[in-house]
Parts: sequence; structure tokens; C-alpha cells
Amino acid sequence: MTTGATGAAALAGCSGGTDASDQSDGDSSGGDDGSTDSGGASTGSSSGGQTTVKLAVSSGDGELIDRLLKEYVESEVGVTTETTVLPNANLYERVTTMFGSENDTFDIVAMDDPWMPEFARHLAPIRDHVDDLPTDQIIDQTLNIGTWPTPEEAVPPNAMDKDPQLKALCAVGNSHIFVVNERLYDEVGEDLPETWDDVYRAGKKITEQIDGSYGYAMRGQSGNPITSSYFSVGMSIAGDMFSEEWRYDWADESGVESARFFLDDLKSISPPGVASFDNSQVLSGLADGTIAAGLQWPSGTSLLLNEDKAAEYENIRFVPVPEGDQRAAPVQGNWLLGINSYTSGEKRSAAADVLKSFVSKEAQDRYVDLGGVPFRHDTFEENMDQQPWFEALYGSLQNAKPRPRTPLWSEIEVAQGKQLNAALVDQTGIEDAMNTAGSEIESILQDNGYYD
Amino acid sequence: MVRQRNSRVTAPAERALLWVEDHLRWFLTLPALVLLVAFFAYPIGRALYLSVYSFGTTGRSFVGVENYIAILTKGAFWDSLWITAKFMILAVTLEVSLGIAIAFVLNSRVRFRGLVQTIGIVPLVISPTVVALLWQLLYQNGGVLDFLVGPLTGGPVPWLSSPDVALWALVIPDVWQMTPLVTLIVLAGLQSVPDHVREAAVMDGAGRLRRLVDVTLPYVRELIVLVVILRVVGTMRVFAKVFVLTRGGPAGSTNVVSMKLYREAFRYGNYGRASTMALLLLVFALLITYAFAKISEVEF
Repeated sequence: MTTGATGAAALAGCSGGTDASDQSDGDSSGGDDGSTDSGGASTGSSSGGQTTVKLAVSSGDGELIDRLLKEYVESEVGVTTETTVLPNANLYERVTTMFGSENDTFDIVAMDDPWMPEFARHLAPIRDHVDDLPTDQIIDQTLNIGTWPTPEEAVPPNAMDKDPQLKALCAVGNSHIFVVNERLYDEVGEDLPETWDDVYRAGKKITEQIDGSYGYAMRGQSGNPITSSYFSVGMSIAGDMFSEEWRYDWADESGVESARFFLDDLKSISPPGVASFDNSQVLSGLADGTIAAGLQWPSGTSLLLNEDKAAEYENIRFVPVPEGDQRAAPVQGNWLLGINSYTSGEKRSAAADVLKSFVSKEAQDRYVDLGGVPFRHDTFEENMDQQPWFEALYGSLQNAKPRPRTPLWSEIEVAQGKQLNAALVDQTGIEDAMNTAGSEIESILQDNGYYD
Repeated sequence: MVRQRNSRVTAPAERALLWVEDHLRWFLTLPALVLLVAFFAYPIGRALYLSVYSFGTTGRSFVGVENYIAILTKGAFWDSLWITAKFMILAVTLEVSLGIAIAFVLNSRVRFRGLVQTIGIVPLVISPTVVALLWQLLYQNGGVLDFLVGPLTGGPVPWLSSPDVALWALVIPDVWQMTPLVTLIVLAGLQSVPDHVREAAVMDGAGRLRRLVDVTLPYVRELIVLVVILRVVGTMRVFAKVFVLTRGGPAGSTNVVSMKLYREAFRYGNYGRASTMALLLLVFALLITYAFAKISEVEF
């Protein structure tokens, strides 16, 4: 019995001693629980003369991707695809193992965008194998996030000498959107918010005037949840989290002011116990009308628009994430598809053709019909009525900010989240929290040679 | 039965049969040995192997005992260990006390004892994650628990959002779930006390307390020690309830060792440090178990 914890760590480090990791505490931008592994890892083969391209994708959106491949891409490209759908944690583990042993178990892998800094060096440059990508129609932010090093973002030391190359294409155009209960806003005479000040002003009125309702709720749990909630506020009021030299930039005056807004002002219009909230509590509060506004990923909309599960489904509205002093900064959380660089040349070309077909207008129109989340301008513009949240997502995606592009992001967000949570429960002052977070985060970066 | 050995036996089949008979005990033990190696020796050996490596962004490197030194000299691990110890002491004390008390009640002539026993086992068979989700609902602000304790506390309790209360908020569902285990084991021991011994004590004029101390407890002492050891080990590796309810917060007040270990392994990908922590936890658990068994003078 005592070997349980030991065994878990040991067995998870199996397969040649390579890593395995559950990347998300629940803030995965696309991966939900559910699917089992529908296929094994077999070496490539041709099926009836056609090349077979093997993919590993995350459950949730992965099933939609597979359907699109089967119903459209295969016939367009003239290949056969074999898709293995895995829960988020297992996908990360399999991808890590595959790249660690440099084999070609899968030709195309899906990855959450925070994984890019770690895996980019194992992906083949897409433009080496395909021309004429419709880049004019693909939203710039979704192209940038699949490029390594990422343009306009701080670059880790070990990638500074590299020229930006497109290594992955967007498969799911996720970004935070803002959910608002219009009925509650109307009751206090407020329009739908465009800035964080609007959110606070309206939220204060709602909290004071409407019994049983609160103006806002964040995910306040320590670690990834609160950091994810804070990111949009911090980036929009205080600016980038890091300088180009990877110095922590959120402990200065604007950083502390931003934190104060989040930890004092927004907390004052949030329900009691918000420090223990994860997404399920925020979602249920939005659904039953106890919470008037909050951030959500598109995956949350299915519950909010379900009349059997959401009492307020008729009053739910979706708007782009509000602006701060600096800008609007919705958290970008795209799922990407990249080509395994250890796959043979022929398979890489076939894989590139699959990706090019996947991001085509015709494929994306079908993808939206299947329930997918788009990332092309024309797809959004021509299918805006398909989902009530498309317009908000389109607006958010064009302003979206990726999480800092470093393989150390998991450690950084936990360190940040711990201090934010401590300040949220008044265990530490806000300025102290941000200073301590900065020290701890810079210590992590220092230990990994970011300042050498 | 020992076969007669014929000095003139030459048939290979017969020699083989004799060899098997001579080594039969090993063959019969082999399946258990395989399981022992697979689920005990191998994971520990693998963890030991991983613990001498550091896993970074560019791969892994051999670091010897650096992981052990780094973890044992940093306050964060000891902070987590102390939080784990607090959880263990609170939970085990309550579970064992309540469990023994309930066992004694059930051992007497109680109406519908069978039904009570059956219903009492239900928390035990629910998965810890489901238990945590259930209690998350109960802990909701203005929820059922607040309704029940409101008259005593004068208002809602910040069960999961106050560093002073959060650890108790983890202890309570653990006690709810695991007390039936203690009850079952102790009850089995109580029911094994022979009636004639009890009756003899009564006839000799022994009072209730005397019968409890001199007759009943000796029969259940080893079971109580066993159940304490099981719960000590179980509480030291609590994870699901922490992950669902608090994630180690608020303000790190419930950041138990298994939560740190999870983060090192599955968030940061540093299997070296995670394996080191797991082995240290194993050592602490063994030390506590040994010490307790020694103090109680129980041999297993």
C-alpha cells in the first residue's frame, strides 16, 4: 500500500525513462475527459495502395477532427487516416514518450499550445512540405502560436538563435470569451461590458441590489485555476508578464494595481468562498444566475445554452473579453496539429497535405457544421450565426495572448497562482504576493539558465 | 509422498517429474512472487533509479543524491510533510475513536444491526474522487452544511476558502469515508471474543470497565494496531480529496506531500524529484509503522 505513490511516480516514468505528464489541472483549452484509446501505436503502412497517416489527438475536439478527416480530408487528399483519441494527460505522455525515443508512432500529433515550447524542436517545418497555405484567411494569432519561436513573444534562451518557422497549424481556435447574464445587467441599468471597469461597476450594482446574485466570479483555487483567471486581467492592465529578457514585470506599480483590482475589487463582487472555486463552480453560478459574469472557454457554452441544465439559458450572452488600460488580452488556448519530424519523408509530405486540407475553407465549413471551433476569418464571417458565441470568440481570438512561451510555464503558473491565492484569502498583502511571486518565478528561470 | 528413487531410472520424463516434485514449493510460490516483484519490487527499484536523475527541458541528467539533498534541505518539503502529519493525526484520531465506539455499539444488541452495518459500508465503497465531489457540493456557501452548523457558527463557514478551516474540510470527508473500515475491522475482533470468556468474567464479578480492559481489549488490540497502521499509511498518501477540494490551497494550507509529488511528476515532468519524494514518503511511512508496532508490542 505504501508503494502506491512510489509506484505511480515510477511507473509513469517508464518507457525508456522518458517523461510523462498531466499538463492541465483542468484548464485545458480543449481536452476533456472521456475517450479511450481507440488505436494502438503501429508502424506506418499503406492501406489498399494509399498512404496511411497516423494521428494522435485529444478527446473532446479529437472526435470532431477524426470525423472531418474521415468525411472529407481522406477523399480530398487520397490518404487513409488512423486517429488515436486520448485523454489530455495520456496524449501528453504518449507524445513525450514518442519524441523522447525519436520514433514515428504517430505522423501528426495534436498538442495544447503551452506544449509547443517543449516539443517544437521535434516537429517538422510545415512549409518545407506544402505550399499555398491559406495564411491570409487564418487568424494571425493562431498562426503565430504554431510558429516557433513565437513572433512578438519573449523567446527562451535555447531558441534565440532560431529563425521562426511554422511548426504546427491550428486545429481548434479556442480563446477565453466573456459570459454575461443580460437580465441581471438590465436590472441594474447597465449595458454589456466592454472594459474591466464596466465589469466592476455593473458587478458592484448587481451584488448590492440583487439578492442572491454576484457581479463576477473567478476561479480562485490555488495554482493553475487562479493564474488562468488572472491572466486576462494582468495582461490587459499591467501588460506582458515578462520582459524580453524574461524578467518578471508584474511586481511594478501597474502590476500591483492590476493585482489589487483582481484581488480586491473583483473579489468584492464575487460570491463568498471564491478562493476555492474552480471552473465547475463558476459555470454553475452562471447557469443558475447567482453569478452575472465570468470568463469561459467555448467548451462551457454547451451547458450554459442547455435549457435543461441552465436556468438562465435565455439570458446568457457572450462578448469579447473586456479591455484594460493596455488592451484586451483574452487567454489564447489553441489545439495545434504538428508533423512528427521522425516520420519518413513520404509520410511527412502526406501529413502536410492532410493539414493543408484540414485548414481549407471547405473543410472548415464542414468542421463548423460538426460543432468544431473555427480559426479562419471567412469561416467565422460566413458562419457567424452557427453559434451564439462565435462573434465573441472571433473578437477575442484576434486579440488573444498566448501564455508565456516557455517549457517552464507549468512551474511558473503554480508559483504565481500560489501567491495570488494567498493574497485572495488575505494571508499576505497584494504587493508582497506579487513580489514573492516574482522572486520565486525568477528563481525558477535562474535555475534553468535563463539569465546566464 | 516421496517417490522411490530407482537407481536405474533413466527416462528423462521421470527425472523431470522428480525435479518438479523436489522444487514444487517454488512453483506454487511463483505467481505470488511475480506479483510481488511486479507491484512492489519493480516500482520501488524504478523509483530509486529515477531518483538519481534530474529531468529538465533538454532531457535528463544523472545527479546522484542531489535530489535527496535538495529536497531535504529545502523548507518546502518539510512544510508539506508537516501539513501531511497534521492531516494524519487529526484524521486517524477521529477515525479510530469513532470507529471503535461505533463497533462497540454495533456489537451490543442493536435493532436493525445488519441494516446499519450495510448502510455504514456505503462511504467505503465510493471512490475518493466521488467523495470529494460530493463534499464539494456540501461545502458550498449557504449549502447543506452551512444550514446545519449555521446556528452554532452564526453564519456560513468558509470551508474551503479559509486557511484555518480548509484542513478540517479535508479531514471531515476522510473520516466520513474511512471510519466504516475501522468499525468493520474492530467489530470483527469484538465478535471473535468467546462468549464463555465473557460470561466467566461476569460470573467472577468483573465490572464493565474491567471486562473491557482485561477481556475484550486483549482480543482486539492487534486489530486496533493494524487498523491504525493502515490509516496512518492511507492518510499519508491522501491525494484525490486534496486535488478536488483545494488543490493544496488556500495559501498552501493543505499542500500535502502527495500534491507536491503530483505537481513535480505530472505538471513539471521532473520524475527524478517526484520519485525522490515518493521514496522519502515511503521511508517515513515505514518508520512510523515500525515505531507504532514496536510501542504497542504487536508482532504481525
